[in-house]
Amino acid sequence: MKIIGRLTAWGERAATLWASYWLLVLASLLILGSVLLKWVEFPFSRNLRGVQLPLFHDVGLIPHIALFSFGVLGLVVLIGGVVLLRFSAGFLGAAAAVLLTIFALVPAHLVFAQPTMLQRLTEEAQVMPLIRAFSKTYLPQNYGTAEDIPKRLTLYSGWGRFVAASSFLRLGWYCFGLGALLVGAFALSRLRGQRLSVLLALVGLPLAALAIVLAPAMLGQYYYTRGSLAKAEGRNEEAITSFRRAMTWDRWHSEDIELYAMIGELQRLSGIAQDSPERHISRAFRLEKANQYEQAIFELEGAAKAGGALGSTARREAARVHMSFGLALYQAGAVGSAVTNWRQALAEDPSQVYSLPYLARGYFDIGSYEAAVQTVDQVVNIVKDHNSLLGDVYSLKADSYAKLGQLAQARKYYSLSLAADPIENYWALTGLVGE
Amino acid sequence: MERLSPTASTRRQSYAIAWSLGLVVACGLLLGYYILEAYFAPRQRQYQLDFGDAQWIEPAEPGPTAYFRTEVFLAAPPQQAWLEVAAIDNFKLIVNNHSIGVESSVKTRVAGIYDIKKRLRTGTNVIAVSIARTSYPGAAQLLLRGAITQAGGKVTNLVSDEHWRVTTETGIVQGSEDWTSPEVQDELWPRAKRSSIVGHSVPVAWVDMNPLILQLEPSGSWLLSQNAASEATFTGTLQADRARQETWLQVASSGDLDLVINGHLITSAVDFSTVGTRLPHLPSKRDVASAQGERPRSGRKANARPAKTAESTFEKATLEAIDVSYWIRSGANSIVATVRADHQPAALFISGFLMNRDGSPRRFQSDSDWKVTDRIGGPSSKSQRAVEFGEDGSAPWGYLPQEMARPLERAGFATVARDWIVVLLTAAAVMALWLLVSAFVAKRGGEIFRRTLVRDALFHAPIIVGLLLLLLPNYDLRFPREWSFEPGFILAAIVALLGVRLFHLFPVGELAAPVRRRVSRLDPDSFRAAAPYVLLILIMTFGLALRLHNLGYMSFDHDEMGLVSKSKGIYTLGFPYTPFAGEARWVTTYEAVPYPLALAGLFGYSEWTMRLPACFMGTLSIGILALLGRRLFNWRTGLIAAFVYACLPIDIRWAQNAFYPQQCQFMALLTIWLFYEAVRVRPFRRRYLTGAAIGFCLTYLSWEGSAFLLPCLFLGLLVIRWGEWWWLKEFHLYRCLFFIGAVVVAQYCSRTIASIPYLQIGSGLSNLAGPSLFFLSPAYQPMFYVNKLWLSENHVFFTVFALLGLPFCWSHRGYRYIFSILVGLWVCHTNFLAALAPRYCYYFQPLLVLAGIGAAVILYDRLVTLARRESDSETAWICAHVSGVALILLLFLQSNEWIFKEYELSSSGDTPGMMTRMGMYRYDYRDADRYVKEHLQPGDVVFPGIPHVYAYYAGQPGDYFLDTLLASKVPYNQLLDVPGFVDKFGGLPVVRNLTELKEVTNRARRTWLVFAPYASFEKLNSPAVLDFLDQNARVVFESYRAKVLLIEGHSQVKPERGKDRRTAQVAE
Repeated sequence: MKIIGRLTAWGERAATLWASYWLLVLASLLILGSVLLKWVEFPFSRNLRGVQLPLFHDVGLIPHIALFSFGVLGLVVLIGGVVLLRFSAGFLGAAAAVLLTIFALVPAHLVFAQPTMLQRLTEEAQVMPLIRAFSKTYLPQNYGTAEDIPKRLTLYSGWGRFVAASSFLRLGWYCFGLGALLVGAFALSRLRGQRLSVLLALVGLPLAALAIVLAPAMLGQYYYTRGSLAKAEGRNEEAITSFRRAMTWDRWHSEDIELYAMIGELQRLSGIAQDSPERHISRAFRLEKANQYEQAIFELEGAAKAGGALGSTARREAARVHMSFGLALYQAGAVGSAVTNWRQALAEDPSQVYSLPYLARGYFDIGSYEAAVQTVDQVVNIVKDHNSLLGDVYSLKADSYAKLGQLAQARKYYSLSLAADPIENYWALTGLVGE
Repeated sequence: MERLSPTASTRRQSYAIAWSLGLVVACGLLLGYYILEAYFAPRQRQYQLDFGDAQWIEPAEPGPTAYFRTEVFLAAPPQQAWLEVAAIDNFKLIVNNHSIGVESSVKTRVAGIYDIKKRLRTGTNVIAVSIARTSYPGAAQLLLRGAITQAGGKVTNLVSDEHWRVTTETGIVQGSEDWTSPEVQDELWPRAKRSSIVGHSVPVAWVDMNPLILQLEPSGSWLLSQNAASEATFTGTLQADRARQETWLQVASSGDLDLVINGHLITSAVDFSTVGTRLPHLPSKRDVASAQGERPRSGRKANARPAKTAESTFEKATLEAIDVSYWIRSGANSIVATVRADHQPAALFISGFLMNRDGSPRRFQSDSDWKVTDRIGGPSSKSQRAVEFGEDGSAPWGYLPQEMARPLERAGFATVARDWIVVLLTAAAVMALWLLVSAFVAKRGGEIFRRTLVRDALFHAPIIVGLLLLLLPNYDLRFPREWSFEPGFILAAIVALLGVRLFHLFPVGELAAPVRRRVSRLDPDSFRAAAPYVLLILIMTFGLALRLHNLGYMSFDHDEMGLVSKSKGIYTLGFPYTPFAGEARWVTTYEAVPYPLALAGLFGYSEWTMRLPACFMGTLSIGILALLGRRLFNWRTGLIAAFVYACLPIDIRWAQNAFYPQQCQFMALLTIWLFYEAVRVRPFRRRYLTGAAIGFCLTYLSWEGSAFLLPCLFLGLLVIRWGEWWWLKEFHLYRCLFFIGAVVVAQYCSRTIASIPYLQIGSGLSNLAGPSLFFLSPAYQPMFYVNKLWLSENHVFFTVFALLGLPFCWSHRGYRYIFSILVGLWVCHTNFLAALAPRYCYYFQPLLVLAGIGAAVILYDRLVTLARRESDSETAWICAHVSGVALILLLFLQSNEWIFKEYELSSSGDTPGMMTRMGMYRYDYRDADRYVKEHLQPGDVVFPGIPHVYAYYAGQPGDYFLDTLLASKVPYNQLLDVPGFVDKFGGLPVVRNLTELKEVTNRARRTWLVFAPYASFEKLNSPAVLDFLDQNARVVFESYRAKVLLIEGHSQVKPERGKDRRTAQVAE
């Protein structure tokens, strides 16, 4: 009876607390849960959770929990707000405003603070159909439905990129936003007389922060549009100047290889800057269009000597051309040379991991099964969050083990492939049970 | 007289002001949106095609599929050739084996206009159109008109008439040629006949391209600079009579083109959709496309001779049409085009026209009046006259193919800001007008300012609803897409906005008084008590009639047949089962569904009898919804919701289907109602609680996925008993929970035990054991039920009102209950069930209808209350009623197809959802299976698409089951002479690869394949098998999403091919 009495007392206390703080509890649970959920979905590589989305540095290929991340910051702000609630609900209102600001700043962060992340996201979104085409043409079939990642890719305007970045954000980010809104609602419900100021803070702070972050991008957009118009009207030098200003204001443009090529082309047409890096890039574009990959790489390497943003962009482009060249060679049956090019692509720019699935297959084709297994291990670590890709690379690993005569291992990886991608995974299924 | 405390009175006053403000802001925002679309955004013009003397034609032997073709002989290559095509549901236009255009929209007469000049050649040309209807009843029909102008000026006109040839199946073709091939002798084909609709006016969908673009021959000349430079900037002038005059410009160039009109960038050489990303470009676009879903097919199509392509050092030029009206100013307009070409002179060709007020075109083109600058950017560049070097058709490009240019995505910060500014400024202007007029009226009449504010705000309500109603035709394909964004409507709205203020001066209260008196006379208690029930019976009768209409028209689908065949087991062993490997394999899901089917089966097994239980449950659901609505809100809400539900296509369609969803929905509604009845009073009513528990178990046994209802009912209990905890001590609640738990555990055990003895491979839904943390899976699709429920066809306005109702209806207990259950179920299904299907949300779909209508009726009541209490005006009272009734009308109109066909009012556009439209056929297994049965001969082998459906309709089992990808779950039968995998319904041996298939077809005299349903058949079979079928089988019968393929084996004495089906039948 004593226990029942105590339980009843606890129950009543919990009920009273729930009745008073249910909104805050719900909001806190949402925010707590959100930081562990997926915030950014990458089409090829690993997804990012709230605690893995860093505030200051580049995320890298394999995400890690970061102390200075959006998720951790959100948690700290929430805890601070809840602790200070005993003094005034205004503090919680301020915390809600900060949480909403964090929420609003995430897409802006991806676009304007770390444009390389949006570059990677869009690159991955566009490289996936090619990987599927390669798989369909050259690999045993996995007929399962490929992942469909909702995205919007209108990238030429700042607003378009903002929308594009938002389209890669997922459940965790939404839960965080909802949680922040509920915290704000709870704070407002607790306030008497100061509602207007807190309401203004809830709306104004995120908007002001966004305006500050977006301002340079807007200027960049202004110069980019001016440059496009000047180019369309044949005022080439004016166009070049405007494009360069756009690069100054918006880092996205300074990492845009096509813009460098366009400047190089305009320089060529105007007969200026004979040996500029941009003209090298422009020449590389034309050479690549004519399938003269090696010369294109040579030109890009020349441009890369310029250093800075242009240099790194040219180097990345050179790696991409290596990858294209590898595909061309593979298609022509020169698998060994293709493998060499894919390896060079990775050496040139380790972030070009999209050539890894090709490389693994290339190793398999030339009979380097051990190397294929090792490459698959690398890929697995990167594509862990994508069932279809994961299933395929496991099947490839199983094929390699089968070739090496390690049948138990082969069976294990066919099974893993089926576990990862069980729907119509004909490759793995027939690997296990035969055709 | 009611007397309020000062605090309550103040609260009521501020409440009235808040409502008034809300109304005015809503009106301002809506008007702002109209202004934005009409004046500040480029218009998407649409056009009706003129088919002249063309007639609707159809096959002589009516069928849902048709293959029309005609031949045209040309003595010279065409310089201009266009075709206008219209057909019901969909069509594919093919010219000389090249696909030209595809249009599709179920239950619509779709249309398109195409440039075909590049596909025609000297000699005999074949123009073919295939149609495969998915709606019923009626035959596939075609309307076509075209003209071909040959070099030399000879014009050949083309219209659809009785001279066209048509067949309902492609198997009529002799040999291996494709039916669109010029080699096919179509003299053997039946002639088309005129459709019975000839002479009647039928609405045809609008097209995006102005037909004059293709119908007028391009005028103008190719321009060069005098030095034939590879970069040049061309400048011309265009005189327009007025700003935004409809202007179409067609432009072609020899290289990259940047086009500027009046300082606005229209097209750019840069592909803006991919700026910033560079990709490996090796795999061809075709490979990429195929990787994204198309399956490359060899066979006849692949073997068809490819079109001869001329390789040229010159890049191909295309005349791209752009609607530039938005950038046109009155008077002179400057056009600047910069062309940058590689290794060739920069050349430009422009042809266009402006539309005069009388509808006639005024043409303009590139000619020697244009100026050109060819030393771009250089200090010595100067403008010169452009050089004309040839007209359209000149070498090296020849007559240019014409197409619509890809629209340039213009969204930027400035555009977004401008849009918001326009909308907000309009809202601000409307608010300012409101305040000014109210202040003026208050001062003039010596009234309280608040009262005039409220009264004036109420005058906005009919305008809001009117503007909302005007939006509806925009989503109906029979109207142009921007039908309502006409200046006339905006002017009318502004005039109405100003005009309604006259009611302040000339109140029409005298008109309202007799109406009120008449209403009050209709007040006797007996009438009030009986009327709702009478109305409900009428609605249910009407709903039953709608559901009974065409009840047996469609063939059973495979899902229905699965349950129908299991229900037969009840007569022998007392529970539903199917025999497998000599044992009874009892039903492991939908356990409660076969019993009503078995009951109906006492009257014989047919489509009609088997669907009768669903039909009755659908009708009863109308009644339950009405009672639920009455209990949660009031009779009005209940009856309106019942009427809307009775007419809602998705609810009618599922009530005509013997599968589980209708029964599950009925039981779920019953449970939700009983549970509310149980918990709405203190203490809980035990009988109702028991009823709810039984109802839940029946819902669960109709479909296990509905188990989420239990936590959601708990959520509903929490929100209606907010802050109360006494119910935790209700012992009967725990008894009911225990009972439910026992049923759930028993069902789960039964399912597990039933599947243990079977070894099976492949994947299927039965892999899904229960709820999971689906939101962590890569396959997670958070928007699935948003698209399939909240924003699906006929649901959008319910969603809008259900959400709008949140701030002002949350205090209403009934609304809270319904809304929380609805949202709870949506969240659960989205996040915790690792399988997604549109039908999974059907069982709680009526809650959305009820929530939307409940919110709308509450809004209606609030407006009337506001008018009565705060406005001091009979006119405002009338406005409130008019708005309320119009609001309900709006909800009704958008919810069904009777008046408007709101096919585009959904997040997926005009793509119909599952069962969302009336008259859409699912799969015609019946006719396909019966066709096979009628033509079967000894020694023939049958591969039924769905074995148990074939067994039912053909009265005999098939022979093999084709599953070459092991995509369907197939168990192993050790009792066969040669143990192997068999299909789970009919026990037919599974053919798993091409070798086995060849073995079977070679042994058989003839092999019949029921290729139904299309999608499933393609999904379940490997490309190698599909290619084999493409090459060796011919289609001998076609119907709704079903084909019958015939492979003739070596032992077969082949019948003369090319005869029509009836002739072949007679010969047999």
